[in-house]
Amino acid sequence: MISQFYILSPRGDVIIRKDYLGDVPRTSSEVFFRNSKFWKEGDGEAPPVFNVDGVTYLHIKEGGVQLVATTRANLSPSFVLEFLRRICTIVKDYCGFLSEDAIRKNVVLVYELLDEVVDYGFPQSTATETLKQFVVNEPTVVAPAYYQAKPLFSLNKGPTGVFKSVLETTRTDGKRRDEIFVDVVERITCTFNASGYIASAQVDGAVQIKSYLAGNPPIKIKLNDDLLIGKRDAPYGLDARSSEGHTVVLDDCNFHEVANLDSFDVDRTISLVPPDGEFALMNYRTTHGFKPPFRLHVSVDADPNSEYKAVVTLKLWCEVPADKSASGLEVEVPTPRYVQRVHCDLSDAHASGGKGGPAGGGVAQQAWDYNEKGHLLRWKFKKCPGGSEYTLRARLTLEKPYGASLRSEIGPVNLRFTIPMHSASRIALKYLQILKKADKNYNPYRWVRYVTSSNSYTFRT
Amino acid sequence: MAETKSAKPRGELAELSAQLQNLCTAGKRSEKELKNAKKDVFKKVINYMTLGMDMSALFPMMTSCANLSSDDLVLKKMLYLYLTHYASQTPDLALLTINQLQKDSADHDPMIRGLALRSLCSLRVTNFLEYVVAPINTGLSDRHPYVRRTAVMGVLKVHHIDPGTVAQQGMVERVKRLLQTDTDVQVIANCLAVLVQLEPPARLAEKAFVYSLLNRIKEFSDWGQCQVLEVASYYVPSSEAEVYDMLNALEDRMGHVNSAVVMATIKVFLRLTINMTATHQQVLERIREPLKTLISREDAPTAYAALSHVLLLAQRAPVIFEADAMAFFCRTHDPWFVKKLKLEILAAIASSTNVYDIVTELTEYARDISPTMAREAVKAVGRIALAVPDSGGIVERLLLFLDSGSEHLVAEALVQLKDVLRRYPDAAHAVVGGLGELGVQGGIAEPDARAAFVWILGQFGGLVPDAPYLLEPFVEGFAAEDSAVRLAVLTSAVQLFFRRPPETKPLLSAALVAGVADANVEVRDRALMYFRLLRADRSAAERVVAPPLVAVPWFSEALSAEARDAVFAEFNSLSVLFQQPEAAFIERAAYHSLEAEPEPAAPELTSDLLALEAPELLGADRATNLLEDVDGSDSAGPGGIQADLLDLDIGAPSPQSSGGLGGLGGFSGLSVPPAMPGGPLAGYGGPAGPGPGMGSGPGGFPAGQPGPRPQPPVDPFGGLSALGVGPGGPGPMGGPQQIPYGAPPPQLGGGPGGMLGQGMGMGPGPAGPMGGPGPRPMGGPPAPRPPMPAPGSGFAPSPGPGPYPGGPGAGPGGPRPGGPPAPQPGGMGMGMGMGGLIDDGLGGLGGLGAPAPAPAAPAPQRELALNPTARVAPAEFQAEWKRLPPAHASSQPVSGPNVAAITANNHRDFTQHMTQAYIHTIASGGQAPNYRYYFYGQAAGPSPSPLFLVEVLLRADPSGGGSGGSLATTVKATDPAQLPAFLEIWGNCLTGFLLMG
Repeated sequence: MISQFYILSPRGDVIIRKDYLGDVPRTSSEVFFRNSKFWKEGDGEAPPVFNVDGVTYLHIKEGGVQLVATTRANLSPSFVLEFLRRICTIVKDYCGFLSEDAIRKNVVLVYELLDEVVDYGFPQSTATETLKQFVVNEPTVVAPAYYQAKPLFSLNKGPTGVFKSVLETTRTDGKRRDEIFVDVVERITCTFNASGYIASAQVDGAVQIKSYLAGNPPIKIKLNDDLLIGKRDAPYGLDARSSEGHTVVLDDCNFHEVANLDSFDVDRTISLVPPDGEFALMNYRTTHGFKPPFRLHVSVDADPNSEYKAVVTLKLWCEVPADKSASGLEVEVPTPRYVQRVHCDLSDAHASGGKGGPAGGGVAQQAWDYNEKGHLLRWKFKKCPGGSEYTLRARLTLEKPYGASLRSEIGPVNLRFTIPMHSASRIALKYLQILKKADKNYNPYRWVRYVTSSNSYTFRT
Repeated sequence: MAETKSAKPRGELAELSAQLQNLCTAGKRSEKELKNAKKDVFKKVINYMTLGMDMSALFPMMTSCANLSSDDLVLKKMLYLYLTHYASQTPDLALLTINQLQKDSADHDPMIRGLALRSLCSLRVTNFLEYVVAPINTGLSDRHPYVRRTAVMGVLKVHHIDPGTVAQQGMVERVKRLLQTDTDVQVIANCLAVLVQLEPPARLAEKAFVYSLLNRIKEFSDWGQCQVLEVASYYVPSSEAEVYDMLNALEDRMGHVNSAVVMATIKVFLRLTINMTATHQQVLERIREPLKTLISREDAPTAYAALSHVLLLAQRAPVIFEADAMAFFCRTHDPWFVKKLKLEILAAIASSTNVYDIVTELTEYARDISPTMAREAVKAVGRIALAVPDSGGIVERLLLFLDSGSEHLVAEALVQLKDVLRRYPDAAHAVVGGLGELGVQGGIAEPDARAAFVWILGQFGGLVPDAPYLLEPFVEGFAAEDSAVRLAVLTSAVQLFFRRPPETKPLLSAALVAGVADANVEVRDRALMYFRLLRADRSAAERVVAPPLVAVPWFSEALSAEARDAVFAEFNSLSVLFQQPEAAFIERAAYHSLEAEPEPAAPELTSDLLALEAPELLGADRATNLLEDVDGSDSAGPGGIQADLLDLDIGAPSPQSSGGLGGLGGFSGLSVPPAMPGGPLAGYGGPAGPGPGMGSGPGGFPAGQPGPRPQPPVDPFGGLSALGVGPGGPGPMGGPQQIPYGAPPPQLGGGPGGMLGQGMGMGPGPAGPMGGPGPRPMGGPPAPRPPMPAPGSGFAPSPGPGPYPGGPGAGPGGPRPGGPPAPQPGGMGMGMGMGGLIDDGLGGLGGLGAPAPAPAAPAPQRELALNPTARVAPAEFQAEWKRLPPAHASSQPVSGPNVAAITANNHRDFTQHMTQAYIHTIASGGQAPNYRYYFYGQAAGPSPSPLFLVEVLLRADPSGGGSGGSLATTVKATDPAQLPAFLEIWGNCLTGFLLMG
């Protein structure tokens, strides 16, 4: 089992330290930090599991801190890493947020939790609500600085946008607010080949729940009627015929333990008693019926005036429904090393073109910058409504005369974005019922949110 | 940490102490205020404790403070946290709290009972066991499951401190009874956890028990499910029907959100069906989609763990994932460790059906901004070219990379093409066409790529019209090349010479002249060897250096099939991530043993030592340099070993050309078996030594030899096992299967192992007497080194006249310590080889330089073998040096060039030369005209084995101008009886260096 557990700050300070088996030296936290900070292979990022002098270090990163377990045994890596992830979630549930500051302010609470969660390196109770009975310390809830500055931010994120300790549900002073957040979080992986066709596409999604309901009443969730799930419904494989008439087709999905699926195959309802805190009710994956939210066309031309110049034109179409819009869109265009300078014109006529500055008014606030060291041209949008279309003309100054090879040396173009209230797989929550019969007036807040973001959205050139 | 303890918190400690004192007595505050004040102080104490400051001095105050408010649970919890942290440091004070803990463990509140019991068991003080046993026994039969589960863990804690107590109290039996009878799943899970630690899990896996667990598996927590599944994986069903029952019962675990449960289920499935081929296939099919879901998670660490398992499965049965190539395509923001695994998986699953898609995708990655990623992609294409028979299209892709104009792609593509050509020599026509235009000579800096280019020129020189002229720049800039390239240039020049003599002759002689004058021992030896070979018998030389290229049917994998099976047997464990069996990376340590362990002393003595012995030598700024030197000499350990192996390379062919040196009889039967027996281990299979001799033989491609290339530090021995010396390798690096952590698969092509195996698996005949130990147990730890049996005693005293025209003298013969260290019976042959070589080298030179001693001194001191991996800590050295009286002192004049040679290359040439004889350097340095060196050697064998310490004082003639100087040696020995033997080794080694220099 695990020999030690510790939480390290970004600078390598030990914020929380527990030693269980006593077979790994105390200095191991320094060994870990040195190795993970100065990892030599690849891009310098240490893999989540590595071994130094017979001690195996397993770690995850979250909220700027690192959670580390050490062991000398040959454990299941999935087990330890999932367990670390679980500890993360518990800390988040109780402290409201996970960051160095939050942990430092709640050191004793975190120790108290850890004592119940791990005994001698073995996991014990890890369910947020069973832990409640053991916890006597009060949390000091720390919301992150950026959250206080920009409260709207939380709308874009999943349940992580709520900073509230589960211990609040046990309050009796009238300030308690019963609420439940159900989020459909999807991430798109999509690659377009040079001709603009989709080479590969996949949506990974999860239905995440964060519950602050006192007394844990049962709830019922209904998904799309015409949902089809790969192996479950079409054991002989999905094909055009079997998926006909279904708007949402999932390749595979898994459910949390609490999900009661008795009627799922009949009417796509899931009933459950949501445990306290955050958990994923369902994870799914689909490669079917996917409509890409963005299309991009790249053209590269010689400049008629100078052979040391070239013009790259990017045309971007945002194809999400018109009532939705993408936020935080960034288009990244890698350029070859022999590009000296880049100057861009944005499609907006008022664009000042100032380097890195906002480019005038218009619906979309666009900007661009060029990172000379990384040879990366970035085109940013604050907001990008559905159905809109943009053009960027970049003038490249080259170190050598323009050649046809430039075409293949630009790119691949990569997009990052978030689309609130949109699900790329078209999966939908038809209703969310809270089944508490005792009190008719009991009507907690119910939040159902959707968010789709890019995981890897690439246009090859 | 030690500094922080003493430096800063003095003030805080005093302040906290005062505050606590105050809180113990002052009673004016209200009860609530007092408690809150106490909580604040306690929190501070715990914060400092976490920072590593020593708060143990507050023990009495903390205890009395908390005891005065013993009804407050928050304070109690903090106190117990503090207590378990410091109890083992201050057992006397902790004893004071035992009473309270015992009282609490009988509290009416189960939470407090559990808390007290947990803290009591976590004190880690052996003397307290008597107080702990009774509460555990009561706890095991407590009515509340929280207390019972805590008590069960307590059993394990006690067991780790003193197994006797547990046995005596019959605790294990009680835990077993709980396991069968308890109703609470967490108690059962803890019982399982404890019992699995105490006895092999297979013993727990009885039918009725496993069934009862599986039937209620859903009641367990995720972690409990994993533990149950782990035990179930050891259950052996009695019938196939039973297997199907279990598969059906666990089917839904495959859809669990927790990847740990899914992986544990997969393990059960795979193990249950391992002997049912058809069902196993279905299982593999069944686990495909869940695995794909796991690897596409957002959480990179767990995805990484799942991917490692996919890689293992893909290597065993590529067909399962053949249609899923797309699932393993990299995403832009995947972390590097995920991308690397994906590339390996893609290379593993490539087959004729998906190879086009995969290679097209990889070609895209080759354009990645990150050169590391781009190179890995090219490497993957190279591997696919080797693995997928229809490699036509893929070779074209590699050739396209050559045209890409970007240096890292060209370099990697060259390295890959070299391997492709070894596998498919017929592809040469297509490949060599454009080589001339590449401009490798000036454009590519990387030694591997340069060596690959040179190799291609040598092998396929007949097809490249301007090959000699392409090679020319390499010969002209010979000295500036990396040693791997220099070795390649020598071989290629000879090969080219046999193919196109007239054009190449001047080139060859230039190369040989440059090689013979080289400072690097390997390069020099190889040049000499070629030179003599050519001179002795041209046709034999051609057979050795430039035989017709035989296609390598396959390359040895980074992991042998056996090792992979061993890893597969450890499915769902770290072995899969590290791609090696458990024995290779797990080092157990005693539990709770580290509290009192002193920190190992930092190796700072070097400068001390010099200051102590020769203050006048120590320039202020030398200190750091010296430390570097120590580092250098440390790392020279493996380097030296490799050098020896390469010596061997060169030594081995000599019997062929000379018709067999008397003493080298073992080698004279160099027979190349027609087929390679028995898998990739064949290369290892001939561990009896001759194996390594072949490196530079027929297939000899220098770049394949690990010696000259700086090996990654984690892999000093990977090269060795690849070289096929296996058990013969000096030192404890163990068998070939013991592939060290991080052994990079990249050797793939370089796979000298494969090459050796192919060309030269030694016939058992000649090797027989030397007694290869045969295949060694999988991944076994380094076997103890038995003393060398006398008859095989290695090095040939070479009684006859020297083999080469150059040296009539037999030279100092065997005594050169190359032979003796051959540590295992299997290494005997190697010892021979080394002896032979030394013999050869020194003999030849001896003949040229100084009158050779009487022929063949009968290797008098053969019983002294030095430990090749002796490690003496600087502090130990210093202590011994002070303690021992000088046992031997001598002085000799040295010539100017010798002084230069000794000090050249920051003294490294000299120290590395000594390392080859397993005389290790601990410090070297000084400033002109005085230099000082400290060496040590340790006899092989069980410790404490005799230790020899040497100080060398080199005084260059102060008049300067390279007119020589004197060299004074002082030797100290822990066992004077062995001294003459050591002096023999020392003297020969030193003389050898001076002569060569």
